[in-house]
Amino acid sequence: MAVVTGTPRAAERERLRRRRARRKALTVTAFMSPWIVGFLWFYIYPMFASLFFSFTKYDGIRQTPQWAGLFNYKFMFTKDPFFWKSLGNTFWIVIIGVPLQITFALLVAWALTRPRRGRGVYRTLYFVPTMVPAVAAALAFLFLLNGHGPFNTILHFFHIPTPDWWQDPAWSKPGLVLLGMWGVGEAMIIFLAALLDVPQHLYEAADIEGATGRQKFRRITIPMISPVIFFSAVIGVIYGFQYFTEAYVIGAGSGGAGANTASSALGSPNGSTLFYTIWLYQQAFEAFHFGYASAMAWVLFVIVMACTVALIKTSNRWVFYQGGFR
Amino acid sequence: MPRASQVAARENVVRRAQVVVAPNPRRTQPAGVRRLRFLRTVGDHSLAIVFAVIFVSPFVFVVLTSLMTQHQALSRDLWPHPFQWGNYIEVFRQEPILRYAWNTVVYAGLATVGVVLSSVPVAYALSRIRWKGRQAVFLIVIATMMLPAQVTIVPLYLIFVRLGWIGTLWPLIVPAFFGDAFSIFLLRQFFLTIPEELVDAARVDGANEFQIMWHVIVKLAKPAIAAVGLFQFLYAWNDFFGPLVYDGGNPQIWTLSVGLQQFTTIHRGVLWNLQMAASVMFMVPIIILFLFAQKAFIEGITLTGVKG
Amino acid sequence: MKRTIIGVLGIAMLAVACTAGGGSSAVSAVDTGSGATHSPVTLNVWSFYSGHEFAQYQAVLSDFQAKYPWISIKHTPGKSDTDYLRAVNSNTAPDLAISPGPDNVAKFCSSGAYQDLNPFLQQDGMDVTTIIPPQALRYTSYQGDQCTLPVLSDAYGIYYNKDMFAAAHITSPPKTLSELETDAKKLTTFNPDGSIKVAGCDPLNGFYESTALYNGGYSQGQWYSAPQKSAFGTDPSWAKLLTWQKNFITDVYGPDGYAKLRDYLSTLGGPNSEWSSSHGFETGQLAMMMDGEWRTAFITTDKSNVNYETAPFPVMDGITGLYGAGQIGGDVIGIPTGAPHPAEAWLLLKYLATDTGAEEKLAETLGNVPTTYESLKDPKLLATPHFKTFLDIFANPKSGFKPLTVIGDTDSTLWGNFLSDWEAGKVPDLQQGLNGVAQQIDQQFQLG
Repeated sequence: MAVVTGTPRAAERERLRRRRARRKALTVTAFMSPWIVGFLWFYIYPMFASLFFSFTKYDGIRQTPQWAGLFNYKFMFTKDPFFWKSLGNTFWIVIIGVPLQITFALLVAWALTRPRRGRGVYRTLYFVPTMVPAVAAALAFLFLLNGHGPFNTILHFFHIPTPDWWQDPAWSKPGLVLLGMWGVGEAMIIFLAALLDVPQHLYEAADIEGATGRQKFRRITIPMISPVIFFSAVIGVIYGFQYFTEAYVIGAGSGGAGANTASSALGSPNGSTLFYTIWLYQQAFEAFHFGYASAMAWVLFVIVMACTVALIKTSNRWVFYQGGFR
Repeated sequence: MPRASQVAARENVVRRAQVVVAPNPRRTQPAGVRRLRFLRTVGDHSLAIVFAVIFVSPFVFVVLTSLMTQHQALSRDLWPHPFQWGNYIEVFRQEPILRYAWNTVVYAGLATVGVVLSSVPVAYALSRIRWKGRQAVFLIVIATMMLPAQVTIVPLYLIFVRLGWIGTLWPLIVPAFFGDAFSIFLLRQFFLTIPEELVDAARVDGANEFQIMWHVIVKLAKPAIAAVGLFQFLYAWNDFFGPLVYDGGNPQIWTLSVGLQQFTTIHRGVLWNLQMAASVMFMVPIIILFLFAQKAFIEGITLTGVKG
Repeated sequence: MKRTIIGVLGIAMLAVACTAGGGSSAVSAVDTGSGATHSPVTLNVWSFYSGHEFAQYQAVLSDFQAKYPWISIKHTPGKSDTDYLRAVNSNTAPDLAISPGPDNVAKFCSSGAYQDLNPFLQQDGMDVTTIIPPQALRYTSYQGDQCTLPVLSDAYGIYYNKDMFAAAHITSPPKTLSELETDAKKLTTFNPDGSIKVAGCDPLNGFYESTALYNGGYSQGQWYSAPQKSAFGTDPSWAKLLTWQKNFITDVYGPDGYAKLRDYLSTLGGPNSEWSSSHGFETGQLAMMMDGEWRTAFITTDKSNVNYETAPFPVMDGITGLYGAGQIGGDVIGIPTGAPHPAEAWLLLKYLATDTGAEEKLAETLGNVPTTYESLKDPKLLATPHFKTFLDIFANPKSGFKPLTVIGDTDSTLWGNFLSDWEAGKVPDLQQGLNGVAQQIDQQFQLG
């Protein structure tokens, strides 16, 4: 530090500075303390513990974990048929389900830009389903999309062939996507705000040059709202990998062969709703393979990180930030 | 206020001024023009109406089914005949709904208090105090939002077993008092928009950081804090995974989510009418809360989405 | 900064090492307090029951409370085996746990989740082999550890519609699988659009209780040729059974029989229709079916007027001496490790499992088969129409449950998934598929 030493006043200033700095450090720590303790207790410790457990076999009943080296990881990748199945199902939701829902949200938001009045009413109606608890929504759709349910009855009326949604492995995930679409209200609000924020003069300039509606949409609208699309995509991917509640409710509610089966029907029909988190949950809390579940958890973590980073890195290519717009 | 709505507000003022200034050419317009305008309005609204029907119809069917007999609910009928209003009483007989509701209220209420109390100081420190490493820590806070809950659930579960908290609501409530990344993020964004001059004025008056936070920031940030509280309450009310893992099989502490889901499994999925009635009762409180606090919710979402 | 990081990591590692492991140790057998004064005790009993069965069970529990007035019982319904295991490893175990089936008995016993009941039995000087038939003891113990006792059992046989039999001129129920096929073909009728109106018999694994057929009890199918070595690929009876199923479906329902059967189940109301009054057999849309003895009580409660009869289920052709046996297995009750009141819990368990009066009452009200020699002679049960079939099935020494393993029902789950794929036509090479599922099961044992 370049300080003029020697004079008592400089030393006095220095002491004051140090005391103020210490006070500030204490204040900051005091203010941040809830988060710091929480971070250590609920994030750092469990992450390391989880990593440790992933190298052990531990069932929670027998008292101590037994070291197993890379066994869990090797088993996961080579000997566990449900690992790949659940990973496939999860990627299906992320790669197909999330884009479909974003597209639908955009479509609904665009539909809302047209009416001049009453927008608030529509917005409320579209948003209310997002308030519905996931369990209630899943149960509602478990009923609505069942073989004899209202949805099929209506399709039947229009002579459209109806699958038995929750009993047919080919249609259970599309059914889940329908359920997800019911709840796009949150994303739609953000898209609506973004669509309304696109400066009118850009459209007017395009009109003067004789651009068609589609051209205006592709060249003006999409780039201008691309930050919001990007945001939704990242959120969608993160939540897609953690998809649990709806799959659990549907899986548990649609299965059931035999009266004496003590086994869980999760993932039914025939494993089509077995998502990665569901399989992890089963391994941890039904089969009590805590070590194996921890290994699965870390693999999930790595995958989510990789996908998020990839999404962020490629965003430079297709996300357009107008200077000063934010 | 978010900049987006500032822009919109300014544009609205301009638009209104233009209307006042331009002379009105005719007092009534010819039928042809009126019809055209009417058709255009219908066209503009038609798609919105279709979507409105799509979004509302599940509610309609759920309510209709909740009023059917068990037999009718299993059939293809869409309209109850007769109307079994008694289903709503019957649900209470079948399951201890009131206890589940109480547990949910306790969890949601305490968790909301905890999150608000703990997130405000953290957000303040991350936005209004300048210190080295602030940006890095903020990035870490954001990063924790991306961590799937499943990564930490096994060790956390084992900790709570050791503490003897499994089978109680503590594993759900206590962590709320240690900050929540999403709430911290939202609050920080909002705190950043508060003008520096107000804070400087208070500092000049000799207030310490705590006093500044309490008297200046919190007072101005009431809408954001309300939004954070509402979001947390909603999240806790709807939470399924947490109560599922930590309940230890003890139905005394089931929340409405878990209780409702177990209802299906226990009754092997044949009591659709009661199931739907219970679902309606589960949804209604939160929907009512939303209708009263709409503005706060929507502003909160716009705040994260457009600015984030 | 670096020092702080190392410090944090160090603390984290230390914390990990400290919190792993530890917990309560098993409680050893306690004297059954049969002294004069007793302080009041509340027993926490968990069971899988629900609905009206739960209420009926309560009646028997009240009898116990009358006999031992200082013990009150708190009975919680709707519990599953995983709930029991979770309760044990989170130290919140109940006093008594009632499971719907024996799938996880080996896990309960070998992991120490349930207490070994042999010390309790020795203390009371009871020889359980004189009270309970060996077929039932086999599915409640594992490698010498009797960690559960049976209380009520199920027995699976065939239910058939007598009116439909008469109309098709069938005089006696089928005794072999090929007779089943012939009869089913005669009894099946179709709608004008080709869909199934009345199904003769639905052999799909996921249909109601047909799954019992694929547990091997009617074809002497071996699950394991050696400990932890699955026999699905090596025992030829499995391939024979699955081929029979495929031929059955095409023979009786046509080349698209699988799709038709799926639609048929959908028109019945899906798999959950099994527990409602729109049950296929009860509503006259199903001529013959595999089901358990409890269906007789359900038919009465649902007020169905189906004119039916019961018999042992047909067995695979060419196996002599097997007809008359069937799949059995039912409730198993145990005392979890860490139960707060094991002594009193044993009194209740002993009452439910060995007291003739209790067994008979449970069997009569719930419509299940009792599991003690004495209670099997109950004249009321013998007089109940259609019920004697199941008492005989249970008493047949060749009846049993699938073998118990420490991986619990994982082998059943993997087998069930394979069957679903097979039925859907996704398995081009049967033998290869069977070898594959056998290997998957073997590998599961490594996971522990």
